Amino acid sequence: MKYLILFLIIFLNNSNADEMEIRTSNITKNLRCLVCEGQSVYESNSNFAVDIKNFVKMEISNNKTDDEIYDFLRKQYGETILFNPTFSIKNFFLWFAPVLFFLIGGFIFFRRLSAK
Amino acid sequence: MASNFANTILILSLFSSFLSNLFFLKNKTYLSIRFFNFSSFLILLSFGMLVFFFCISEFSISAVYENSHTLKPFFYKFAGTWGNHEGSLLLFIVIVALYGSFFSILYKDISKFKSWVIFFQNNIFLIFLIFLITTSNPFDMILPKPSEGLGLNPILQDPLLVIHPPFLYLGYVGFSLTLSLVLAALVTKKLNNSWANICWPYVMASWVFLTIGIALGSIWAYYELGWGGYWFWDPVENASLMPWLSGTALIHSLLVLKVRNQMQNWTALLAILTFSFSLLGTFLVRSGILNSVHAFANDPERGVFILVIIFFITSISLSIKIFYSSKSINKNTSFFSKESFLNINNLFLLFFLFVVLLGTIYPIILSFFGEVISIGPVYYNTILAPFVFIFLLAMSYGPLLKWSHDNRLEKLHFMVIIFIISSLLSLTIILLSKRNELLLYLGLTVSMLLILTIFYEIFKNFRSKTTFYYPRFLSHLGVGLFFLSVFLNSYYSETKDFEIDVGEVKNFNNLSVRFLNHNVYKIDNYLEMKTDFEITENNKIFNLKPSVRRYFQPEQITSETSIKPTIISNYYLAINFPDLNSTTIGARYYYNFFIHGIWLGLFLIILGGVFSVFKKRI
Amino acid sequence: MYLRKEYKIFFLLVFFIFIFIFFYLSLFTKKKFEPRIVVGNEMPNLTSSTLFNDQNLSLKDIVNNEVFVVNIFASWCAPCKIEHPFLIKIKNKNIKIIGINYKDNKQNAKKFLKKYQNPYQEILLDQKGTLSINLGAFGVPETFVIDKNFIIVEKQIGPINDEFIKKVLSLK
Repeated sequence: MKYLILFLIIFLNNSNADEMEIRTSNITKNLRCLVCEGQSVYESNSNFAVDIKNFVKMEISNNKTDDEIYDFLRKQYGETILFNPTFSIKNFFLWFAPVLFFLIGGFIFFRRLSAK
Repeated sequence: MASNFANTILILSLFSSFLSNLFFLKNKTYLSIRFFNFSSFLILLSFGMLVFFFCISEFSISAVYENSHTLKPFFYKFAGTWGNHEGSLLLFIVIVALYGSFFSILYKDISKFKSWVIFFQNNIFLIFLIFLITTSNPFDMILPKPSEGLGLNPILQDPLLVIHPPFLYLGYVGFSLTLSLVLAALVTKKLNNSWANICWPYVMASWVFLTIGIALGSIWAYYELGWGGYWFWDPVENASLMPWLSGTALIHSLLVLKVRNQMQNWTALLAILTFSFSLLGTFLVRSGILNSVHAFANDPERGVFILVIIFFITSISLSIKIFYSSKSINKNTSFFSKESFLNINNLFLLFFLFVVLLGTIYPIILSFFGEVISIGPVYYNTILAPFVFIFLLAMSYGPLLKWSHDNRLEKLHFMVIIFIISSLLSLTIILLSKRNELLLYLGLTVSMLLILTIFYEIFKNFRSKTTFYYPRFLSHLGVGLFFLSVFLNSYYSETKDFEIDVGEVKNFNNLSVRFLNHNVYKIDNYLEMKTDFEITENNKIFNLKPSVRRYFQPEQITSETSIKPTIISNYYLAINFPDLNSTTIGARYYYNFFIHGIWLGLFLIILGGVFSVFKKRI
Repeated sequence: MYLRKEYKIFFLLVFFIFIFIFFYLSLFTKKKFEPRIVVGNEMPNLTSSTLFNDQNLSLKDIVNNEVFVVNIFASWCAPCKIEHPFLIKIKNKNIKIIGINYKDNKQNAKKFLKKYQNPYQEILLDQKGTLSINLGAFGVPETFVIDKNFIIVEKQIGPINDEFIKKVLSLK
């Protein structure tokens, strides 16, 4: 029990000095640079990507949450801009199918094992 | 002239391959193999001619005209042979033929089995040769002969990228021989442990080549793209990862077949799957169905042809498998046994494969319904990470077990002890570095667990002087080191993104960057802007000299990063092509922690594979 | 589970034909992204300092209850020169055009307008690209048409043409 508490203290006490920069890079890594091919906003230095980076920084300093920023950009640019697909009905299969695959696979494995 | 001669050889090769089929049907085994080898010699000859035409810039040949230029350095003229669709397809076919011929030379026993293997290999060869001749003949003639070529994609003018595709192909195509071996074994009812021993070196060799190919691609991305990373979950990268995952699963199930004479059906299925995914990889890259940095622009017509080939080969193979398969021998095994953990390995690898496949084609499925989404690293990392932890745990424990049955308690105790050691080690690391994050902790723990377990095994082996199975030790050690480095790298690396003027100094926490100067040079077929930066990090001073190039034929901008390696990390600087209406330049600075571990890990994985090719018994 | 082999093969082939058709069709589907997603949204009331004097202006200070056009431009952008005559045409039809000067040097922008005439009612400065993002723009030039209810009804990426002008006039 003592160890568990120690464990929790270690992992919950997570403070970062450079929070702004880390948040900006985390968010921009999840945004697709729409005028480039296959790059994230974080990686690209096109005008578009630079604008989005500035915008994200500005919104963070305006105390917007990550979700608010994502939502706004999705409204403006469509879901293409998000690298991390949302949990929505059309993406249901995308998130659910791997779990299903693993469960079925695991089931077959254990059945073969028990069936002599 | 040149074109006619080369075309004649192609047609002769096609003809000889037809004859091989004909003799096979007439039960003339010896002749059938002879003619296959002859057509394989002819195709090699025609490839040699294409290389020659590229080297002497013979622009009356269409592939040369479209992809070469007199200003190219000689090395890239030579390598330009496979830097385009037609040439690379020819290389693909040459490799199909070479694998077949190698088998026919190395496997001396002229039997029904051998003739079936050559028959299947010959037909795979034939299908692609027809594809080449009808849709993408590299030897099409251009009259009158142009005096200058159109150029080779400058991004392909890189030594790593020159050797990357041949290795990838040696891997992809190697699995065609595996497929032929499996189909022949099914037809002749020889799918058993001695068969597994026959095909082991071929499967391992293909796997090693594929691994090298992927590793080279990754190294290229790291040094050339200037994004500081080594893997981007880009659809084209995924396309090469899929056959690798299923090939890795195949190796492990082949091991069970080899030792225990079990899992025949499953192994056959995996072999078919692996080659199908190799073809799917080619299709995804070549058809232009994907949006990606790496995708070759190509017309959909060719895509249709490749698609037809994939479905033809896959459905015929699966039909043969269903038709000829008999029930696998099922031996009584407990959960705590090597084979059960090899099954678990297959389950995980196929799960990874499924996730990668889904992530790659899901946007295609949705675009079909008019929806557009992007699937990036976050998706893969979120879904795969928890499974990777369990996978590494199983990977440490499984190999310790004996075949069939084992006393679980003894080994579990041992695992618990190593687990405690590695978890204390990783706890120390995160506490000292003040990065207390749960995922990092778990990642470090499981990868160190794997490494320590293998060290223990090696130690034990040395003491007891039993057979020393180094291929697995090396490869698994490589996997452990690879994941350890990946976790360390992703948590301890730093990036700075800034605009800087000449003479300006940018100061960050314990880093300062001074832009000393820049110069523009005109070299053969590009303009290069070289820069000089002085970096001061933690009282260490060094210079980084990244540059950007602007190529003319065709116009393209590439980035040459500058990297200062130290024992544990890389200091990495890349610049953007300067904006014409501003004096500043955009630069990205990366501190890449423990990147060598990733390369070393990959090297060990490959080294283990190489040893395994030549080691007969496990 | 124990189907006859012929059936198994048959089902397999049917399954493959479906996958084949899927890939085949998607090979010929255009891969589009959604540049027009903002059409139908309410126009944000953009506020910024202007090119010719430093005071802050918002769109609603400039227009009220009328159809107007918003055009993102920069002096360094070549296609902007191509579309310039068309902007003049729109202006001559008595439709207000609000310029958004994107990441530009003020002096250059002024020279640009002097050389090619100024079609804009007002020019808002967008030094950091924030206004563009609020408009859901990808780059320069981009042109938006806003109706009386302050809703974005039309959008063009790249230089505008006569066809676009027709659309604008039909909305008036």
